[in-house]
Order: sequence, then structure tokens, then C-alpha cells
Amino acid sequence: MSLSDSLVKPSPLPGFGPALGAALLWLGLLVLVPLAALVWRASGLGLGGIIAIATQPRIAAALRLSFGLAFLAAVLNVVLGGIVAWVLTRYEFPGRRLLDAAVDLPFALPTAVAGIALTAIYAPNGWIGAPLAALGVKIAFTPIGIFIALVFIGLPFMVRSVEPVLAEFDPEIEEASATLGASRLKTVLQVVLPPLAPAFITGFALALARGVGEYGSVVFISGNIPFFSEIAPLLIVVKLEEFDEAGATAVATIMLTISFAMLLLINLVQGWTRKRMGHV
Amino acid sequence: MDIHIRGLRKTFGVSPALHGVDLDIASGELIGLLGPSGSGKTTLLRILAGLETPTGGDIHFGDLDMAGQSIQERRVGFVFQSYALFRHMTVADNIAYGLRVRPRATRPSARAIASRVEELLGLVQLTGYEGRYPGQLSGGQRQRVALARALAVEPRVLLLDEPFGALDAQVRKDLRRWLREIHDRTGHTTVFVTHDQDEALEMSDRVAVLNRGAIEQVATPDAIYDDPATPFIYGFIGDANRVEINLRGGQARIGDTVLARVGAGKEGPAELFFRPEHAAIDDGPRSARGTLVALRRFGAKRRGEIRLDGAAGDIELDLPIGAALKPGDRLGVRLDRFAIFADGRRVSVLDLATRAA
Repeated sequence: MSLSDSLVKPSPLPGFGPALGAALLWLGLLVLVPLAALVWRASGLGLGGIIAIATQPRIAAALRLSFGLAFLAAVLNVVLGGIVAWVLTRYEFPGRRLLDAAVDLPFALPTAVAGIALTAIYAPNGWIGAPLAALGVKIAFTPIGIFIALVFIGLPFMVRSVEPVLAEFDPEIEEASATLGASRLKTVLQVVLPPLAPAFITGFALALARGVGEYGSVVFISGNIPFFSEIAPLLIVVKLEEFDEAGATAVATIMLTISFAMLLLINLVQGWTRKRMGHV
Repeated sequence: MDIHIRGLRKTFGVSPALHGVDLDIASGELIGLLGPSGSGKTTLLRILAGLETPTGGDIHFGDLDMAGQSIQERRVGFVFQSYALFRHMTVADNIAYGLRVRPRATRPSARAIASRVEELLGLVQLTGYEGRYPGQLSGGQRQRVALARALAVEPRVLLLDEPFGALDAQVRKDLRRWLREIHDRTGHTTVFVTHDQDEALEMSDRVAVLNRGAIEQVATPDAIYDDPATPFIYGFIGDANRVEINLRGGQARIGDTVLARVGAGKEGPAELFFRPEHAAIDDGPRSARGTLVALRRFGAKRRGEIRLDGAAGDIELDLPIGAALKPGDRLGVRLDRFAIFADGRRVSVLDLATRAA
């Protein structure tokens, strides 16, 4: 028995070899090689050196801010994105197509444009910022501003992950729940939402990952005040501008490691949920 | 619980789905709604469940007016063709669902729910499957879980929408007999929808045949098959021969043969229907004359195609296997049972077996 016989389950689909080869080649060229170069550069510092950089107060604060806000924004997007997906799939109303297209705008817009627009609106002299400033609430140039930018760019990931699954959801399942005496709320909570969990987790992971690495839309609205509203990706740019290439690669490696660990964890949860929800 | 439907109408947009349906269903009865697709049978069932709102007419379960009663309040057990099981729940959780979602005041205890689930699993012969997920069951097993889930809430009536439509022929046959047994044991008033005449005739106490949003006939399976009330039912259920005839002078004739007397004053073209097994080769005076055109083997029988003198189109009838007949032979055809319709209304029925005309 050859190696390929013992490791690979026989499949009736031909072309396993070339397909896997092409997939690995692209993945290698586009993802693994650059990331390996990054890790290799950072390895010059040694594990101790990286930890020392990570625990520098300014860097630690930036990392906490980036991951913390990306997490919170993704959580809020679970709710917002879920509602938008629900509205888009469940109701027919004039302008639905328009709303549907608008959801993708954060994908399409150059992030800097989004950042400047958000800043203009939420700045203390902006349309929304001015009335809020009168109430003593400051949004632009604070972590709240960053949070809003991250919600903005994460929303389409959520909507586009949940929408197709929700659209496929068999209305008879909801009708069955109603005939069994369940109220509308119980039907939604116990029958509709649980099977959507894998889609929500996918959207959450995508929004979180995007939020962690987001730069363009955040730098304008954040104000970039160290220890307060400075995000980790910005810190990498700052390090590079100071010709501190080792510091930049160290921060990048730390972000890479945390992100990878998070995505791996989410994927594991995903696999477990899918099994529980009957996608065998 | 008995069901009374009066003048039920339903319009989707501009196209009427039901116009003026009246139907009384006795308590404990198993009734089949049979019709081609688009006849309104599923709409009728969904209105009973409260899943659709009627445009007009009323429905009573016993003395209880269903108008304004929500789906939840109606306490109907509904079984869908697609099973509509909750696939993220185990078989046991699916069955228990209707009991668990009750408000705390009326919810049975966890132990009572567990024993009810156990009992229902036994009834649908799925004991030992309580921990499985729907994705791990066959189609027939899923439909049995769906039935157990519907029965768990002690429904007033049980409604089944093409319950076996998605299953293999053999599984269907088994489930039909099995569902009939369950019905006899539990005694729920049951209404099921089907487009399969065998299913309707085999399972039902009575069959309601629907066509284009109206009920054509409600009767026992025997009466539906042997004594169809309309030309549509002759064509839709079983095999039937249709012969165009003329009514003249109070008589219905094929060629020179007088088949029946019809009331005076009825003149003009009419349709005569009879089933292949309700006719025989006979040279007697009441027989119509014709020519054998073709012979075919048809299951256990032999079927002959005969061209009757004075009638357009060929008819089919069952012939004795051993009869020495060949195409081209002249013969007489005696009709033992037939019905004559003029303008879609029945003007005469003849049944020689019971000598009623």
C-alpha cells in the first residue's frame, strides 16, 4: 500500500493531486511565504525579545485596544448584521435592492474615504458629533470613534455570512413550531437562531479578523493618542517611520500569533457547532 | 373533535384558490383531501391549521369558532411533507418541543415530558432512537418523528400535508397501513392531503375530491370509486371510458341500443362514463355493438380496445384471459354500471348488479 492510499480517502472526483497542488501553491506564495518571512525577521529578536516588546506599556495598550475593540465591534455586528440580514431576507419592501447593495459599500469604499467620512460626521463640529458634544459625549478621537469605524467595516461580513443561510431556511420549520404552540419569540430563539449559529460564527470571525487589522478607516477617527486611542497596526507604521524595523516586525508577529490562535479557536468551535446543528 | 367548514373562500391576489367549500368531518374520522395540484387541497388544510387566513366563510372545531384563533391557540397537530423537523435537536427534544414551550403554568414536569416522549417513541416504533439527530434518520423515520411530535401536544385534530409524498413507494405503502393503525388506536380526527388516489382510497374513512378550489364529492372510498358524482372524478380516479352520446326522446343510446331512460325534456349531447371492469362481452339485446380493435395484456387481466358502432373513439374493457377473440371480431358490449352526464350534471346512473336505474 502506497502512502497516498493510506493517507487519502479515495474519492470518486478526479483531479485530487493537481487541485491540492494548485491550492497549496497559491496559499504558499500568497500567504505562507510572506508570513514566514515576517516570523523569520522577528526571530532575530528571540522569544524573550518579542515578549519584552509586547509588554512595553505603549505597545501592550495598543494591542489591548485593537483586540478589545475588534472583539466588541464584532459582537455588536452579530446583532446589527443579524437584523439587517433578517430584514433583507424576510421582507419585501421598496428599496430592498438598494439597501442590499448599500450593505457592501464598506467592502468597496477605500477605507481612508470611510475613515474621513466618519471623522467628519462624528467630529465635535460634525452632524452627529456636534449634538453629542453638546451633551458632553465625545466620539471622534476616542476609542468610541474607533469602535464605530470597526462596526462599519465589519457589518458586511456579518450580513453576507448570515443572509444566504437565512434565505435558505425552510419556512415550514417555523410553521411547525407555531402549530406546536410556540410563541413567535420562542420560535425565533429556539428554532430559527440555533441552526444559524455556524453562519454567525463565520461572520463574527471575519469581522473580528478584519477589525484587528483595520488601519485606513480607523487612523483618522481615532486621533492616535498613545495609551488612549492608538491602535496596534498604527504602531507598526510608527515603528517603521522611526526605522525600528525589529520593533515593527515584533508587533506584527505578536498580532499574527494572537490572530491565528483566535481564528483556530473559532474554527474549532465552528466545527463543533456544525456537528451539533446537524450538518453532518 | 368534529370540524365544520361553511362557505370557505380563499383568494390569493386575484386568483381564487377556494370558492365556497362546505365540509363536515365527524369526530374521530380519517378523511382524505384528494385532488390534482392546484385544486386547493393544501390551502384548505393550511386554513384549518391557521397557517393561512381565509377570505370568507367560517370554521368550527366542535362549537368553537376558529375565526381569530391564532395558530398556537388552535392546538392542531400538523405534519409537513418536508417533515420540518428541528435538525439541531435530538429526536427526543423534537418530540418534547411542543410540551416544553408551554407557559410555565401549563407545562408538564420534566419527568412527565420524558415519559410522554418515551410513550410516543414506542407508538411510532422508534424506541432507542431518542438521542439521534434528524440528519441520522431515513425519510420514513423522520416522518414518524414528525408525527410523534405532532401527537405530543394532544392535538384537537391531526392535519397531514402529503405526509408520504417524499418517500419511496414501498415505504409509503408500509407507512399508510401503519398510520391507519395509529389513527385507529389514538382516535384523533385526522385530515390528510394527497394527490395519490391509492393512498386516499386505502386510508380514508371518507374521501373529499377537490377540483379547482371546490369539492366535487365527499363519500366513502367505495362510493367514490364505484359511483363518481362528476365526470372529473371518473377521469381522475381509476380508469374510465368516456363515450359521447345523444339523448333523444327521453332515451340514452349508443347507436341503436337503448342504454337507459332519462327524464323527459333532456335532449342533446351527453357524456357516458363507465369503468373497464363494469362492462362485459355479451350478445344480448341490451348490448351495444362494436368491433374489437386491439388486445393488450394488462396485469392479471386482458384488456380489449373496442370501437362501438355510432360512437366516436375507442373504449377499453376487461376480457376473460381465455376468450378466443382476435382483432376485427364483431361483438356486443353489455354495460353493467355507468353514469350519464349532461352539461357536467349527472342525469342517469345504471347499475345492473343492484338493478337500480
